[in-house]
Amino acid sequence: MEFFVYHDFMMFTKNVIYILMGLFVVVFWGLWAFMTSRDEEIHKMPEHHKE
Amino acid sequence: MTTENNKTLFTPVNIITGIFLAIGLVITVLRFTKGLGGVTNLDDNNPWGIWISFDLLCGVALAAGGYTTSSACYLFGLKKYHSAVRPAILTAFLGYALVVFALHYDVGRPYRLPYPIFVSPGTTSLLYEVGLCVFLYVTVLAIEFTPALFEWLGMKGLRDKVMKLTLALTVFGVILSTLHQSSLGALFVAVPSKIHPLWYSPYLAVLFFVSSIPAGLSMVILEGTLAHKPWHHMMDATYQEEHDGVILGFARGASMSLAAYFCVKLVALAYDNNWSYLATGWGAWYLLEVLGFVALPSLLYAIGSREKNITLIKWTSGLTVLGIILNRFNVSIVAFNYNLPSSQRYFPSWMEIGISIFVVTVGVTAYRLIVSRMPIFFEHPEYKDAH
Repeated sequence: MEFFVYHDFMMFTKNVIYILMGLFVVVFWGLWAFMTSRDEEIHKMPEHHKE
Repeated sequence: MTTENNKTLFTPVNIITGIFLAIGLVITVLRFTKGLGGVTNLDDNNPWGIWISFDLLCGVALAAGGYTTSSACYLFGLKKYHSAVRPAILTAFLGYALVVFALHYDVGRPYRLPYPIFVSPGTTSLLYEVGLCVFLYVTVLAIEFTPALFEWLGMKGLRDKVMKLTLALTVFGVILSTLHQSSLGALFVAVPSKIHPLWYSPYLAVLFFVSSIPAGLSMVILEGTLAHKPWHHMMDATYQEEHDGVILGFARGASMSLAAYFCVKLVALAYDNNWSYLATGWGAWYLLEVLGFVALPSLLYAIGSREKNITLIKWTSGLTVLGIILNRFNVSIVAFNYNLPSSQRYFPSWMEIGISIFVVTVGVTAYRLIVSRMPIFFEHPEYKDAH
């Protein structure tokens, strides 16, 4: 990618960051869901199956 | 001294400690008689060496467990982490005290260290801000540590007075930590042409602060792991019951904060459009740091937390600590002056490394002396549940 003026450079890099930020939201949600998924399984378990 | 006492004193650990301390004392004499040039490889191109990279930058980042643990317990009300507060505060206090101690070796005229605070404050300088914050935070940590000291000395009145300040000290500690953890990164924003573009970023302040959170959390896990075997007999039932819960909870915090750090790293890369450098040798080294020591531990912490795998979490804490040390070395030494010919690049002398080992040994010795005497891993019988 070639940039002739600073404005072009900022537009390009900022647009990439906006896309990245959207991806980060998905990654954060996925990481938290992955980490806590077993907790939910324990909560859903009937009382007599819990340790 | 009895024969039995002599036997217990000459353990392998004590002998190695004694050797490190003796070598360190000899180098100390050389440093203060022959000057910086006599013991270091520092020069005009590289005025900051391993004493800044390791003793100061790594020391401050890895001592972040103090403010993360105390804010989790006292500000966010997560009382289940209470047993981890005193060990974390002690590590942070010793960490910061050693930063100041090591700084005496690195500055040309150490007896003038108080000048920026009391005589000639340079209020427009970032270094002044770092110095003031570290000075105030060491004081705060010293006060936060005193309840354990007063309980040990049986000074109930003083102990109760200091305990009333806990919340205020915690708030003050978080503010000071936020300020100077980020300012240490901001110091390098002043040299954009000297640091390789992959490590230079206008976001360095944010990167240093965000990375200090997983560094602190990982150090608390690592310290607890290393202390568990030698001081098991000093740990009370409460500490041992809460230990696994602390590790699992901190692993989650470290996983999420490492993910946040990874994201800010990517934003910094995109903001300066430095993607093309990733295909170079420097890029391979950068990817090793970011993928191997940031993204991987984040994932391993998540897996360990999900599977309740304490062993995996403990190993991951070591990997994270190594990653933070690697990052601070990359910013301040490896990628610093990257465009100079190799003959002018900095590599520490054996005496510089010797002093860094000496400083760590002093810290470990102080830690051993304190935890084997004071109520750090256990609640004093007279103050049970009095927090």
